[in-house]
Amino acid sequence: MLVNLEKILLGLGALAVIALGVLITSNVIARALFASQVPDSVTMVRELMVAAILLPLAAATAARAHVSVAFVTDRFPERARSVLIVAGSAIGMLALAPLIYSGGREFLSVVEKGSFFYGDLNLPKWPGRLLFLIGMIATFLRLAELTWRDGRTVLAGGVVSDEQHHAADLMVEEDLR
Amino acid sequence: MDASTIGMIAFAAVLIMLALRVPIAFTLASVATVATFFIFAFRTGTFMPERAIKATTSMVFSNSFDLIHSYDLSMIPLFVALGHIAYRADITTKIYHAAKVWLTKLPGGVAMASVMGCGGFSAITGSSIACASTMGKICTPEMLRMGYDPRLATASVAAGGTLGSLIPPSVLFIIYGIFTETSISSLFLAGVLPGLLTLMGFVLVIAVWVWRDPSVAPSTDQRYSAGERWTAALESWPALLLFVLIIGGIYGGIFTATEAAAVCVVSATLIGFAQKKLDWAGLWAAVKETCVQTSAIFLIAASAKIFVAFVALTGVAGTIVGFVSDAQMSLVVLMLCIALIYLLLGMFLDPIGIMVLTLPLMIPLVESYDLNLIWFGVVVIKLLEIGLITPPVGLNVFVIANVVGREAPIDKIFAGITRFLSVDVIVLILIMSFPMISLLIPMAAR
Repeated sequence: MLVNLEKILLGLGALAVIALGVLITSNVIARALFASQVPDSVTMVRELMVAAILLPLAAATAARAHVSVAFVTDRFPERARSVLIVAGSAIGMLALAPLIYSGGREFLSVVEKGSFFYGDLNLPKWPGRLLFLIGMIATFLRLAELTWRDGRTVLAGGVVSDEQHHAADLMVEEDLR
Repeated sequence: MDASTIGMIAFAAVLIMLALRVPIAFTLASVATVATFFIFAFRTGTFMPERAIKATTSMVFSNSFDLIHSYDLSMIPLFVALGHIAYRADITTKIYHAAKVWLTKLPGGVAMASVMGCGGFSAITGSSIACASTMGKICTPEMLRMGYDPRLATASVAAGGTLGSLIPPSVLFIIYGIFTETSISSLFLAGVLPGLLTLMGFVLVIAVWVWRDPSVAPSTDQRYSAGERWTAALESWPALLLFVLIIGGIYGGIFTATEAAAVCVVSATLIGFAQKKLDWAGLWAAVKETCVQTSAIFLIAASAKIFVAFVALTGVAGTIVGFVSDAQMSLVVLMLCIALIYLLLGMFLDPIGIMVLTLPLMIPLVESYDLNLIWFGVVVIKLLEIGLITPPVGLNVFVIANVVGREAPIDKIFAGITRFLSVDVIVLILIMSFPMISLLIPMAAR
């Protein structure tokens, strides 16, 4: 289920990147040819950025794409390295928990107040906050799954590796598991 | 417990956690959040956790959300996408092919073409590692097949790959721009001359190396007619167009850097489709790769932003600036110390990690000396570029080693790298001694 959720979120993130390119280019063309611009394009780009960056974060986490320093621990025994990888995922959950809590509070606050961006379209503020929350929760769930799965492997005497999967592997469902 | 004590403990915790392989983003965010909580909780002298929770979570959310919710920073996913799309549309490989066809007659010509190909690739993508990994797959096996010495075949691409950081667009310049609040367009323009200088230096290294020891690059019988050479040159027009759009657009004030990124993504996609080199599946795969790469970069940047806000609360930066002022350090000594710190860190950490860890402390220091932040940015990126090829953790070297496997062990690649490092050091000294090398184009563009 988590894999399917990540695939959907990654797809939505990819659509957001395409939309970013099209929207900004349209604005440049509109400015050059018609001396006008797409209304509230800056606000729309900012909201799309949240989708483009945070929705694929769970998939990036599943692909173990987060950068870490391996120079010191490469000299450790494999089992010690495995324990540290599990600890890294658990610390990731600790790092994201306050962001989810504060993101949730912020989302509820803008919904209750009906906050919107000043502009031609008076776009509401809640979609960006909701996307932030969804991206963070999905990443937290993936980290919890990694901690649980890798932790069990280590306890069973096995070893785990955080070798990065190539991003293209994300196209293959098996690699997300 | 006072804020500066908490700050010192937090810095120590960051270093320990990084050494223990905790991902950079998680280290910075977790330490900054916990330490900020303690600063707010102890603010009145007694421990009051209730009031600290709200203040901490608000600080954490606003810093991370505001960074991501940014119009200007949309250039990062767009430039990363441009690199992936240009590669899949065969635009980047055409640059190398054209250089190879023109230079193949020269001794060491394919190695020179590899460096130039890296320069051309860098002018479209913003990542050194992507440059080394892509060009490494194309150029290094070809040079090895032609009988080139493995040291030359690997080191030329590992060193050439570092051009991705200096020649615009560069993800490192964008991240530097975020944290120093300097113009990213000016940073891009400032990187052009030092990047070209480095590229020419690398070509010169190959020429001298092959001149002194012709056996490292056997000459090839393959000859191209004038027609073939011009065809290869003309086929590389999309790469030239994209570079002109980026630099010409920014220099001419036609676009901002963000707009240049978007226009180039759309142009590269249209060219790819028109030339039938790109299809929908390729485009979709390229954009998905972009998403995974950029979300990991942004998580580091957002965590670093939280860390920077925490550092501001501690006053540690002010303490360091005060310490350096009291020591009455001359500018030359200061710059030498900074260079030494970056070179040492570059041996162990990745470039983005180094930047987000050091800039919160370095920038107040540099500002207290009234130095130009654009020039300082070029110096920092050059130092980080050197770190990509210095042992023991030269990321580009590992990327190339991964590509070639047993044909060239790491120590052999590092042995070849030393010649290119000498050029890097000379260019670094020139950039530090003559700031105009960096500032000429940004000043002319104003």
